[in-house]
Amino acid sequence: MDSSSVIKPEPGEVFDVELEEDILEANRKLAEENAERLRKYGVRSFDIMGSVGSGKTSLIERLVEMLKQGYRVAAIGGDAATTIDAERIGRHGAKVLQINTGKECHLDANLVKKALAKLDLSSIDILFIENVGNLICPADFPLGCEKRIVVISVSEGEHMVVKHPYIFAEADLAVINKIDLSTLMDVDPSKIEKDIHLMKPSLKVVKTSCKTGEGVTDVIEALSL
Amino acid sequence: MHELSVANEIVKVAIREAEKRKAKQVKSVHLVIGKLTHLSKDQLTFCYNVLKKDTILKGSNLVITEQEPIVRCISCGYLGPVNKVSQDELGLWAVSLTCPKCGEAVEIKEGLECRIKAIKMVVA
Repeated sequence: MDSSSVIKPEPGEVFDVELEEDILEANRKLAEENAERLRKYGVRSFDIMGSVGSGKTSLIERLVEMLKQGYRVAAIGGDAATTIDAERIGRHGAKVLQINTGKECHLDANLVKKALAKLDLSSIDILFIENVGNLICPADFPLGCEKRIVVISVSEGEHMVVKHPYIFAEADLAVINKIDLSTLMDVDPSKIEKDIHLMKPSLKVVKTSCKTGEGVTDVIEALSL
Repeated sequence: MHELSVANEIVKVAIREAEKRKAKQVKSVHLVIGKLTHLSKDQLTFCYNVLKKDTILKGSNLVITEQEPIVRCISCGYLGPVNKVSQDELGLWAVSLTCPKCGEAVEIKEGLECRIKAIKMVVA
């Protein structure tokens, strides 16, 4: 372009720079790259989100146990600190990698990109990524997984969905866990399911007890595994 | 809770743009955040004001506009505000990803952004 046709501000003038740069979009682009990489190696990947203590690790342990006969399963654990969860999952025969976020409240696509670089993706069929326990922040940061799963439990009370609606908007599957405790907690899992469907009628809901194993095969079916 | 890292990105972009144009001063950074994100205006502003110290942004304001959610119905083509369901029992309301016209599933067109729209700066 001819430089004389570029409008430049006068010295001292307030210049309005139009940018249209999206901060969250940068993460979404990286997530797309991760998704592309996972697709290239034929890895089926699942982002497991949910609050602290909802049973994300227990669900992955159950899934690994049931899937390891037919698939090579790996898991990435995300926590602020420690390798406790990765070790728990590793005991069931999955390859594990722990991401410690330090002070961050969620995993992001960049952290997952780094983790993927450390895994031999050609020797993995299924990858579970356990997000940091949190029902808020992970929703804004897709990682590039094929499906996003949100795990809640009856012990968190019956209003979890209406209190945290947006994470359900992002999810492809909702798991209501600890249904073995519903009588004790006086929480009706069907009420939680009804709230989920008010919010997002198309969202699949599965009720589980990762303690007894009830419903875990339904999760496998819902993920088409 | 992730406002600090988002604010940090905003500050980085604004400093980069200011340096690119050899700005003397940055007056304001204009941000659009979608109401379907989990970003809090107040926390973002607080974090921005902490991070701008000792940078070219020190005299600047972060101006935030919120974007209402806009959805499109996959079945009937409705394009407009998101549906809301009230939780009478709790006196709350929540968004519902259903079409207000036909009840089918909708896709989110707007409401997930965190976009730096413009930066006002004084050039040398």
